[in-house]
Amino acid sequence: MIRTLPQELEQAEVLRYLGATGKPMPNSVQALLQKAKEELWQAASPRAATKLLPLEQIKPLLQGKDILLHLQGCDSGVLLGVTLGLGVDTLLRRALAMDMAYAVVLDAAASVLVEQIADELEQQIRQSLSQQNRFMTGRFSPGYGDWPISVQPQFVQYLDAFKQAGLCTTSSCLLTPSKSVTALCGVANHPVKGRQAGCTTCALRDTCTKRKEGKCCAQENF
Amino acid sequence: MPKRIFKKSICNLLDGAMGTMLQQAGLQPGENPDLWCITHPEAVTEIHKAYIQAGSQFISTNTFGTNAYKLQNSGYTVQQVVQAAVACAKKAAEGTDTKILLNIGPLGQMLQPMGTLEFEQACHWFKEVVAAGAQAGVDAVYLETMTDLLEVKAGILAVKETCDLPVLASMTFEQTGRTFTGCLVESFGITAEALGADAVGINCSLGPAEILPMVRTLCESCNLPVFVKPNAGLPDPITNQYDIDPEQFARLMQQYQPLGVAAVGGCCGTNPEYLRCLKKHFAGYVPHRIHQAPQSKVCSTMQTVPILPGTVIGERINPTGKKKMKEALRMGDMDYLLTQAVEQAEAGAQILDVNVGLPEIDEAQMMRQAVLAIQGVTELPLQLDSTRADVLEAGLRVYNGKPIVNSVNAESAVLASILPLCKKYGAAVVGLTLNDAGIPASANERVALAKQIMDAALQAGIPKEDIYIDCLTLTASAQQKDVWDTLRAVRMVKEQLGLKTVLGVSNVSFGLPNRAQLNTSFLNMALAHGLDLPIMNPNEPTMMAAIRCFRVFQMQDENAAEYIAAYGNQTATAPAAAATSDVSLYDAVLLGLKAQAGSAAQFALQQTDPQDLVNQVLIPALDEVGKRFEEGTCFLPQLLQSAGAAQAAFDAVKCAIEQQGENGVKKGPIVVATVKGDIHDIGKNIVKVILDNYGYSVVDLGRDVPPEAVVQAAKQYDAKLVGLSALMTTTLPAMAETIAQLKQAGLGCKVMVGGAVLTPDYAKMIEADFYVRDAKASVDVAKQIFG
Repeated sequence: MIRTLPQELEQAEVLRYLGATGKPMPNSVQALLQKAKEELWQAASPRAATKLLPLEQIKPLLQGKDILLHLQGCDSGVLLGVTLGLGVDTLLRRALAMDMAYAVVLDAAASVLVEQIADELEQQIRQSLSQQNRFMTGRFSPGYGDWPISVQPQFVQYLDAFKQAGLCTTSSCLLTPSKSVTALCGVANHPVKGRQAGCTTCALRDTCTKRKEGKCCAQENF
Repeated sequence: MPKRIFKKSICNLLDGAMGTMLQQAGLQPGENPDLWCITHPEAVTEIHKAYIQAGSQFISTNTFGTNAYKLQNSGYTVQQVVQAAVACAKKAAEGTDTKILLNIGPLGQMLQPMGTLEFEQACHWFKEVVAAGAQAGVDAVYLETMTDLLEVKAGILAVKETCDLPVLASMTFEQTGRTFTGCLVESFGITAEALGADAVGINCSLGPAEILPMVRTLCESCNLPVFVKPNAGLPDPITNQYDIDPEQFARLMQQYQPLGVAAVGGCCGTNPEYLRCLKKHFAGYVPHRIHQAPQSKVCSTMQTVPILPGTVIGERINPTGKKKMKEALRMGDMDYLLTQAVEQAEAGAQILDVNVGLPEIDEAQMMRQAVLAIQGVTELPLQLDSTRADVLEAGLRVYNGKPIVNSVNAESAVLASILPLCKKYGAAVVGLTLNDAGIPASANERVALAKQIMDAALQAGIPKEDIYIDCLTLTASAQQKDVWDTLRAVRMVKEQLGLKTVLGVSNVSFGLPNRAQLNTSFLNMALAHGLDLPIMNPNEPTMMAAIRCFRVFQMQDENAAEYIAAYGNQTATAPAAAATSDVSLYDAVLLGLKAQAGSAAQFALQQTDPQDLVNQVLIPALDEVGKRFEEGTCFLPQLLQSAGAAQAAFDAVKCAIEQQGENGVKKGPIVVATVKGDIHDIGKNIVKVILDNYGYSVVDLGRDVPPEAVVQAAKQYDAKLVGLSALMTTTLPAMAETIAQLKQAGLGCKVMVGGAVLTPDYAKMIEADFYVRDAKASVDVAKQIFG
């Protein structure tokens, strides 16, 4: 499924990725950010894959406690995958060889962009479900909380993401193209919020920039 | 000649969907459809039978996902599934003359450089399937729904290296006219034909109407039989139902008849009813393809380049006479090669020559690595440059598209060893007009050698349009009287033999001052004598200007659009940039101003000793930036901009030191790598840049590096410090394994580790010597070890 690019890049979020929240941004970095936006909009070919399945059918994917807590009260799940495509990976490799300062900005901008596209897709699915009086939780991704990232290959297979979006995994369960997101949202007949995992079991608890700012992603949006 | 698979006088009917049919028969999500050949053989046989009854003359086995990787946790071997699948097909075909195609889909992993799958591993997996299919008695191999041209190549080579079966290759394209990996239809046609596929096609993703223009392009890009298997239209995003019924499908498919397609069928959403309608609408159809006139073209997966007069081959990736390139090759500094590749592409090169010939390195390994890396950052086709067959083959195997091989000459031993490689891997070839006796002086003799090369190449099965002749530029300083014969020979080769011509233009000026001037003048004359492919430095503005002018005069650049785009904003001559040094070196580094830092350093070096400049200005400036970074008053991109600026200053310092006759000695070396399985390179690269800045020599092994390679490099470079990076929880075990192997090898080197998911505790647990939380910390470790 071909997705469109958003109007704007969420610049504040990019700065947060770069560890620069609340700091003055010099013109030189602003210029890198502008270039990153222009090149990303040229190189990205955003694609998505979605699949709505009864939880019964995706049981083998649901390993660990956190994802089950997230899906409590739900009968089905929407599997979704979003990617910026391989063109962005090429762009990143080029930047890595040519200019590291630009590479880190581009990398952060691409990470934010793929999340933006995932947000938009999620909202769209939520809306279309609400027309059928169905409700949906937020996204929960493999590798988050105690949901092992090793389910990724199977997740991608259930989602048929290779055919729909050109998305697949490496033998160490990383997604290719690299700027991609997969996630599961629970679906129910009554309003559901889902439950994010929090920091306790998070693999990034020691390095997370959000946590350093005293925030937790589990508190947002839910 | 392609092997005959389709009959010429009728339309050959393929089959329709297997996957969607199995779903209707009860296949569950997440279930492996291919295993139904073993668990529900009667259901699979029934589907085949239904297609045969509907009119299919070719059925493809239910083995789309059968390979060692996808079957790894299934409990079945490739051999078992393929045998069962072929048995199902054979049972259905009993009593008919239906042909059985061994169906092979994508492996399910991205090949390097896009992913981590190695080309030879992919070949190996394909070969297992092909061998099992050949043994079970299929009639041909059918590679389908491919999105990566390199994977298609691995598949075709696997078939050719395993058996004599014909091979049909089919890719799947988006409405953009490209596959998910960016492959063009034209690149597919050119490359598959060059590699010796027996038929090519397009399947899946879209319906007959959307695929039509792509099949037209495919028919125009090669002379192979073309087939098409579209989906039953486009799926509804909610219900997943396809939107075209059998009758509509067949009627839309009739539009393919004027193109002369050899065979038709269906993909997702189609069923035997679609085939029945196809049979009806294609009754009496006789395929008639328009033969395409031979064209000289090379390509990468993303770009095709027709060989026209003045097609620029960039010469910069070649160590001959280039100190920095030699150093980069010795240290395995791939980034330097990539910088050269990107700069030439931006300057207007259309093809890049890749020569990594240094006696002290493993040239074959380096060629393989260079081809992969360069194709990871640029879309330009490559010209693989070596006289050694093993080096060329290493690059040819992993090259994605149709390359040029540079070169053969008229010596029979050379022709015998290299031409078969060009044929096998579908490369165009450059022939140098020389033999054991050297370069003949006269044009006539050089043309005679060109003729010999041409005959040998044709004999080896290389088409005439893929033979390019290099009449060899001689240096005006040493062989002045022979220079003109080169130009005469170019004209004669072009006019008498009808071959494309190549010249390494810059050779003409060796040993004379203002080389660009001589090169440009010689280039102009060579173009006028019929030169197609100048091998030159595209970064030299006067030479690129000569090329762009030539294209205007030659009517290639219609309405001078390219010329105007390049020079429209420019007056006759560009004003020379004023050399300013109004910013001090210290401030330039602090502010991350690269150009100013370079010129300020040059300015300062007029009065200051290079070593003093480093110790009294550069290092203090970097320390200040580092301090601000640690305090959080400057952030990562600024730190790196300062690093880039400092690097420009260091380059100037290095030049000055070398002028004093000394060698700028760097401390180290430090080996850095992102561990096996991990493709996130960014953290490691940041560390590399900063270490480099502080005067440490860094050997960068890249990403996805196996433990053995780290040990080997640590040994080879006698590294006292090794830096390892891992970004994912799944790749931490690879980091532990690398450290274990380093300790086991007893090299006595220290290991520092870093990466997002790493903690000091975990670092301790896997026996790393240092945990570094950021690039600055890695410098502190290096200082501790090297001082």
